[in-house]
Amino acid sequence: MKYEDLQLLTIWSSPTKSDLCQFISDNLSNEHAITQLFFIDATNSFPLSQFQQLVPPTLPENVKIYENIRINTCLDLEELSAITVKILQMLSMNKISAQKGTKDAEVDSLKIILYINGLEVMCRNSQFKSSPQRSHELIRDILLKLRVMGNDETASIRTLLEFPKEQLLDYYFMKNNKTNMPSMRNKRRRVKNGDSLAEYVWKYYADSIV
Amino acid sequence: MSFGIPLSQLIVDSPKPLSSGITGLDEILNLGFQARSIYEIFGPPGIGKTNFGLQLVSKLLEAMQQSEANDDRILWIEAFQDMPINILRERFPEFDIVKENLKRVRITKFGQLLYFFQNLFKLSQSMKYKLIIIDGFSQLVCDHLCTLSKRSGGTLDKTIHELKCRHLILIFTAMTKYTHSTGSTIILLNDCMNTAFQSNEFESLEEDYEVLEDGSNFYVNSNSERRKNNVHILKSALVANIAMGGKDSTWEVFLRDRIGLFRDWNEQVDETIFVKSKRVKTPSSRDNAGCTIREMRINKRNYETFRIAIVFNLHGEDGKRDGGRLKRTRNSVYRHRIVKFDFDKATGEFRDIIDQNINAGLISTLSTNNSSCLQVFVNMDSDNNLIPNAEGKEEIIYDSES
Repeated sequence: MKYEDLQLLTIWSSPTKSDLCQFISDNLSNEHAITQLFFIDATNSFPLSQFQQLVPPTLPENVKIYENIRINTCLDLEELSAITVKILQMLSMNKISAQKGTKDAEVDSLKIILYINGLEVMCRNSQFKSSPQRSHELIRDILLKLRVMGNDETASIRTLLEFPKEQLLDYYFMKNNKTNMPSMRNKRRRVKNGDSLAEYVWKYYADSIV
Repeated sequence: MSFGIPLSQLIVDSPKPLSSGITGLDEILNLGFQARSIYEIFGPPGIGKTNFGLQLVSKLLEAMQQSEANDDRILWIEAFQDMPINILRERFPEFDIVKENLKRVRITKFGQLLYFFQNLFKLSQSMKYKLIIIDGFSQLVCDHLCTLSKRSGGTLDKTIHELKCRHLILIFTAMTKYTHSTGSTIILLNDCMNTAFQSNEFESLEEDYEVLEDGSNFYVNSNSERRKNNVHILKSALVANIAMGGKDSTWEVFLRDRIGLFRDWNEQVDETIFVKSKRVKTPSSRDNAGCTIREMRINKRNYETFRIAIVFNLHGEDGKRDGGRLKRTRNSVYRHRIVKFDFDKATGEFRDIIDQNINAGLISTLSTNNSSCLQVFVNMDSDNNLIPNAEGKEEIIYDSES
């Protein structure tokens, strides 16, 4: 999975640690030295030891990769919103420098991968802190902002959202049975409990599921 | 403009993992218990969870003594059981280091614990604990859920699982905030419970389930014909309590690892068949003692008991995946990693098992057939598997008149 192949907003369902490490390594290698990865997480899940095995930090050519990965801990949607705004400001500043027309700025146009894990935890914590309505507003606001900025040709940002497979039952049912109708069992569950957050994001915001 | 911590800095800032003293376990945990993480340790009563916690405290104190850097502090939160401080007094004759670096606090309510961690986070710049151990965390949660259930008069019963998940997310969020801001490690020492425990109505459970005659207090069989999958397993009391359900993964994401401590035995270590004499009184005997001599064949087996630690695969390692399907593999080797160890009575510490015979046979024993350990987490096909060596070649007679 290369940066160029990613769509604006992609759901990655239960990636293995090795797949995740490989993805990061492929996209932040020396050919892509200008790509930054923001790993936003609610649960300290960055696979550090596996990544260190795959990309030894002691090698001089890998130093830049380790500098370009930034870890953020984020436990509710207010924090996520603040981080998103900062990233978008960074992209805007980069865009302004690019518009000034200097050749260097054009070459150094920033590519950002935003990897978010634990969105459901953040959402639940926001519900506790404020209200379900506020939490819903924040989710919509964050995802829309990310899509809008991703659509801008001069500001490159691609978002990956990690969700467990168990929260995408409808998607896998439809994929495995090659149908457009969700199963009756899931329908009953949905009537009772509503969509899971992963299903909501998949239906209304995400471009694809990996 | 930059924000977040660069990965390079995170590696430099990360302290050395805390060793458990058990080599195999340390290897699985990537050199030990990591900083900025929450671990759960659970097991049946008497398996040594508190001792394990004390061992971690001792290891950290020893490391402090060796490095002469006494800045690190340890917090022991006791819920219902006093911390056995005397053991530390024996291990550290110069008790000053324990007094200075180990703090204890008693918390008996879930709400108190939540409030405590929220305040601890606010004071995280001045109150940095490298290691926090909560002994009896699951009991606090279970008591909290029972209280809520009773108070609601049964109206919460259908949503109690959802409530449990929400409250656990709340407290784990507070804990995670603290661990991330201070780089500390939190260890939860929990009980384990049979998954048949689903309500407070023990009478109805007795009607539905029967205890198997294998001497186990936990492993029960369902009488109900409808349930074909009638094996119940030992799980953490955070999972198996009055609020069981399918959404435990929502709070389990906060746990770095879940470690179950159980007992196991090594089968057929020493099988000796010998002939033994025994006096039996018969009415037809004419000798003075009124006894005759009979020969008995005795098949004596020695079982070497030891402990095992199962590191559960909470976050879906590579072996669990099956294409795009949601099918779970039943192969325990892929799902969990198993380490065996033992308790050294002389030193009062857990240690590796050095005996090569046991080491060679263990994994195959655990993953293939008759083992008590497998009763813990794998759905067995036959009840015969419950009793070790049920198909023994010789009748086993344990004779007390030697």
